[in-house]
Amino acid sequence: MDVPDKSTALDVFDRVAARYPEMQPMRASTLMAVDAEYVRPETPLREGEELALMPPVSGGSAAWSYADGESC
Amino acid sequence: MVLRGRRVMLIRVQEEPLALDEVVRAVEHAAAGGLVTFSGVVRDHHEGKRVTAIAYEAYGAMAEAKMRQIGEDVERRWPECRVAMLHRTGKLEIGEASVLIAVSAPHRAEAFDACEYAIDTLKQLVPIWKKEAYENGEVWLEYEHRLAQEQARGPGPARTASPTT
Repeated sequence: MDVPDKSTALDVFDRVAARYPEMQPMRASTLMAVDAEYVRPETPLREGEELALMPPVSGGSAAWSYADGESC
Repeated sequence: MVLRGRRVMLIRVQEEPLALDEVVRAVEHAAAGGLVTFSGVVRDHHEGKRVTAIAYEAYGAMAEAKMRQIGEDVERRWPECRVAMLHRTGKLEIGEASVLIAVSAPHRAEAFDACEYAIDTLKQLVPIWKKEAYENGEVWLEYEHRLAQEQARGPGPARTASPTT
């Protein structure tokens, strides 16, 4: 995805969410990673970096429960 | 396994079934008097619902990178420990192992502590999701993200370094 210079991880989230509006409610809770390292949303991106957006998955109250001590 | 005089830590995310003896062999050595393993196994229920199968999906490169960071962290905190970790992806049946960890140490106390730390941290930092299939539907579950958010905030102004603990 091509983004303007000085875009942040959150800017890219917003561009993606514009295309997939169902992501909008996850704006504050989405984890972001650049080149396999967790980063803050306001982190500026550099040419060639890989950004991952990891929203909390839908599934109602069951979401976010992977590591609450229940799973294994 | 030795590379340029240094042991290579066994860390892998894979679709194939996991074998406990692989992680055990990776950490056993003559000075290790205690060897602890942890197997995370697909169980048949979750919050009162009957689970029929589970699918795991990993953000592959990052998952292995985070597992390696955790392994290095373990060997830093418990310098005499050796650790190995495997995580499976794809569809698993009840009773199959999704994650295996082995830790060896001269004495059992460090091995138990380090193994517990490794699995607890793995579950909070490694980007692997699971989808549970129930008798009447399925749902995606996330890994607990508090530690990941702490890493994202990091000690520095913008970017984070490796784990701080």
